Amino acid sequence: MDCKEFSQIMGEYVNRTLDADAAKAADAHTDACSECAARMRELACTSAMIRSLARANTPDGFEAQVRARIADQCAAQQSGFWFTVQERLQSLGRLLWGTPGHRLSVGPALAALMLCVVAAGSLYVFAPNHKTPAPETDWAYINTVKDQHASYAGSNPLGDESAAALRESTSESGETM
Amino acid sequence: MDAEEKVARLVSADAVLVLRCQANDIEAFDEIVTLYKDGIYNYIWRMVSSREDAEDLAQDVFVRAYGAIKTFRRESNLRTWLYRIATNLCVDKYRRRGLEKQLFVPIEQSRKDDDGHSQTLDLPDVSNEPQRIYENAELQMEIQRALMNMPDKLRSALLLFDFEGLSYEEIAETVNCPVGTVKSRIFNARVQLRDMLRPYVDV
Ligand SMILES: [Zn+2]
Repeated sequence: MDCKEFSQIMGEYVNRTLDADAAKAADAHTDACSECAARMRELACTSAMIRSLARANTPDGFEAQVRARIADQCAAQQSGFWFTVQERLQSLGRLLWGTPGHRLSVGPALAALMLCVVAAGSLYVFAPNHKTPAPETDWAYINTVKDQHASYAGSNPLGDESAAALRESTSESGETM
Repeated sequence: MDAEEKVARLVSADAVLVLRCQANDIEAFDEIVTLYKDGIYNYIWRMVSSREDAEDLAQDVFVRAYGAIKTFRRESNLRTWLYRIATNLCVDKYRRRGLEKQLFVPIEQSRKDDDGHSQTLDLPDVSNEPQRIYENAELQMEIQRALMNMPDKLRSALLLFDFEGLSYEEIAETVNCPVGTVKSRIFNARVQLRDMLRPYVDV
């Protein structure tokens, strides 16, 4: 391997992602060529630097905050929906009874349309459970997924430990999920 | 596709968690947050250089993930999906404050808690000599400054690879570019970091 060839694989050499043969050839080159060896060590140093950067624990209450923000967002979406309905009705009202110049041109067709809209709207508004229902948790489906995952991954086809962990967590919580 | 066929594709706990979320199992989403919060939070901290912003943005990542989990495709990777949301939020944030961007962005060394005690940052304990620890903290600040002075595409590639331990393929998925581009971004980031931190690069 010459210097030009080495420079082409130096990035992966520093990243330690070369296959064994290529790494061996690169080792041989850096043993023989002090210039390339020095360049390689400089770049490898940047990797050590980033790896040495401190990590911090996520602040306490992080999950709770996330949950609260999700709840806020859901609430905002609901009130946003009612605001939209209200606004639509108001603008329709303005169209029908609003500015006098426009009243005649709107005509009976729009009045009929309005009647339909109001009727449909009131049916919706006064129907029981008109609020967007909370999504129903599909426990049967979840149980099937969990059980089948446990038995499928339990045979450990891809070295996946998740099935065991899943079984443990399920039996811990004492739920028959 | 029947249930059995669906399950046959499951290979990891992540896939189960996503399926449970899609069936409105809120506890599964909590598990996702618990699993990934540390990685996402630390990555964002190093991307934006502020722990306060990192806390807010990391929460944002999970709130957005919750909103979009129904559209999550099973062949995608949950981890890279979350890092992708995080990366986009960081870049947005950086762009918005781009005008007021300082040449040198100082990293917070420590934060006082309510009692006025400094919280330690769990710096690697090189030795018990105060001098050495000071040097180390200073070096950490310099590294962070250098990171903030490189383009965010290079910064994110380097952090995802060295700091978060993602593979080339995972990074390619996260930032939506070819694997070759990921490799060259990591390389260019190293070159920039080396040039900015010359005095600290020991050969
Ligand atoms: Zn050489």
